[in-house]
Amino acid sequence: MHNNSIIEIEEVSKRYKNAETFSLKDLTLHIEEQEIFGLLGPNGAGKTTLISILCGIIDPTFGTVKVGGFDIKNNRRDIQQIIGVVPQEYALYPDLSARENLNYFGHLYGLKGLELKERIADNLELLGLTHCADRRVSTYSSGMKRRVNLIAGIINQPRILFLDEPTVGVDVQSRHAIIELLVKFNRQGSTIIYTSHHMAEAESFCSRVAIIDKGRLIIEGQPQHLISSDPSCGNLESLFLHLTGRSLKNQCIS
Amino acid sequence: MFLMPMMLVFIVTAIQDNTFKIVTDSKISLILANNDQGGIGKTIEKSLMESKFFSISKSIEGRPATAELVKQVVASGDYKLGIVLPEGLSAGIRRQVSNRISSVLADFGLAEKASTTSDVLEILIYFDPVTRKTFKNSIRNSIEKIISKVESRVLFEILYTELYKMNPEVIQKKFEKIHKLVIYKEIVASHSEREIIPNSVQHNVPAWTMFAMFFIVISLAGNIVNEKKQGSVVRLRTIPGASTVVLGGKLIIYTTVCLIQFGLMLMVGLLFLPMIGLPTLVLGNNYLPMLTVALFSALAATGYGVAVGTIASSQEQATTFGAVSVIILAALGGIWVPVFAMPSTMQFISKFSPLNWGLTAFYDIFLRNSGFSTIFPQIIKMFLFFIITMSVGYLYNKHKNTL
Repeated sequence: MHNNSIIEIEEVSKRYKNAETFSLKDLTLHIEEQEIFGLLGPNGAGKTTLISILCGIIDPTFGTVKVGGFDIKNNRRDIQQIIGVVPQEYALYPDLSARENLNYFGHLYGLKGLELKERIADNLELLGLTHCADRRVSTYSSGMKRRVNLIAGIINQPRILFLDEPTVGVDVQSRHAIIELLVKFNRQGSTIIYTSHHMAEAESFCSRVAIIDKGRLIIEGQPQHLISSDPSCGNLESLFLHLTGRSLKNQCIS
Repeated sequence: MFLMPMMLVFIVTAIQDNTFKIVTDSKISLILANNDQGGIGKTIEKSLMESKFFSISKSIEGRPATAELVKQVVASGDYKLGIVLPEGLSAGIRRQVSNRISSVLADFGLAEKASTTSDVLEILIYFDPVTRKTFKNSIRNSIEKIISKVESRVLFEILYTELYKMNPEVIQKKFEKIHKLVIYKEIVASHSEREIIPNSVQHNVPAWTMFAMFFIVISLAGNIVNEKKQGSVVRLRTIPGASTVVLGGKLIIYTTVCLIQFGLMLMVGLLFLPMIGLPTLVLGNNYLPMLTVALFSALAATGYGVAVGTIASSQEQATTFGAVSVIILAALGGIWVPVFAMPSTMQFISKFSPLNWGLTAFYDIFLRNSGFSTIFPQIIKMFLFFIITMSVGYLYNKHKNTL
């Protein structure tokens, strides 16, 4: 048991039904409170599987996981009370407006009245969505949907926030807005665990990163320490390529 | 969701109305060639005219019906039935009956022996070649009944006349108080005083209401699959208690939709169908049991939608399976062809369709005016179906966590 560990992952393995290989294999990782922790890895590395286990959406095949001191198998509901999730998909109702979506998810978290109204208004303002908050989400651009998706994940002001590639497919402005909001959110005391393919973004944004490939942990530590540990790599992206290889991922498995 | 079922019940009821009338109260077209000049021919003709089964013609386009014409028009399908009464039918019957009575009385020494010639009198009955055997038999029975009634009357009249000749006082006294020994009274077995005749409206309105309720499976299952596809289900699964709240919300909304459908379908049966000359829907007197059946049918349909939506992995799968399975359950459940018209094997299989449970309960209430005690088994079946389908959805979701 590590001091201040808000997430403890001990020798976790996950093998999906009918799968030939493990998506995660003997993964051990500890995440400290109020960290911004980056889970990096090529496509199919196991990042989304790990996030799904941490959120209680799927069960690990082996190993133990504790989130906020609660065991994932026995205290799922307690964990749900302290986490927020921003999934990779736009987890929104396209026929509702941004405000209606946020109202709906806020109510499901038990929020109501002025408190909910103010939270929605503040976050919409921070992410520049106030002017179109009452328009149907289906009419939004990818970047706008990502921003609403993010607000839905933090509307309950969770202690721990999981984000699965929150900036994928968005323009530079939206990405900046999202990162700024997350930094602000982290400063208010929340722990952030996020996955990304943007190495530069992770390098500047994360206090610590872990690189996983083929379900195994390759390396973990502070970005600058990891980069300086290998003189041949000038940045996190070089290190990532060095560790995970340059061959294309997602090739069909024969 | 609302307009389509209303249109469906409107069209199908109008189409099926004639079929139901054939089964229940429509008259059979009959062409009669009465070549008999006596009273018996007239009596048979009168009895046929008074019968509720036949619509009788005696001529075609001004031409009186002859044996040849009767055969021709029945063969061409213009008439379902043709009857030819032979010339001298009355005289022949009277002669034969009189001879037989005289013969019997002679055996007892009460009269002189008469000649016993027995010419067989032939009444020709022509049937349309496409007439079904069972229908043909029932028509023949009706005609035989009319003719044997006439024969009995003639027999009685002649016997009375012969005996009266022997002892007028005694015979008049003995025969004046003779009445029918058995009378038949036709009553529809129902818990109500009113006689409600099953017709296309009484069948189609509850039948298509059940179909419409179950057809929401497509919308509900599609909605659940959409949530999975859009990813909102992922968020819902990470919010404490959200899945239960959302599922409860769906149940309330879709059950309400089903009940609105029910109300609209009743409105079609009560207000719109009579406008086009169809019978008005008769609801019976038990409104609370009727609403209870509607509620449990709605729950059964909603539960089925939840199960299909949870298991289906794509919109196409949910839509195709949902639609096809509801159509199969409807066909088995007697929505299109009433269960009583099905072969016995299919009648047995129909007992497993939830649409049949609802329809049977509605029949019990509308046609038999039954109360809770009669419809209770159907309600229990629908409630169990709801519990099972909801459990399937819950367990499948739980199973997905462990995949």
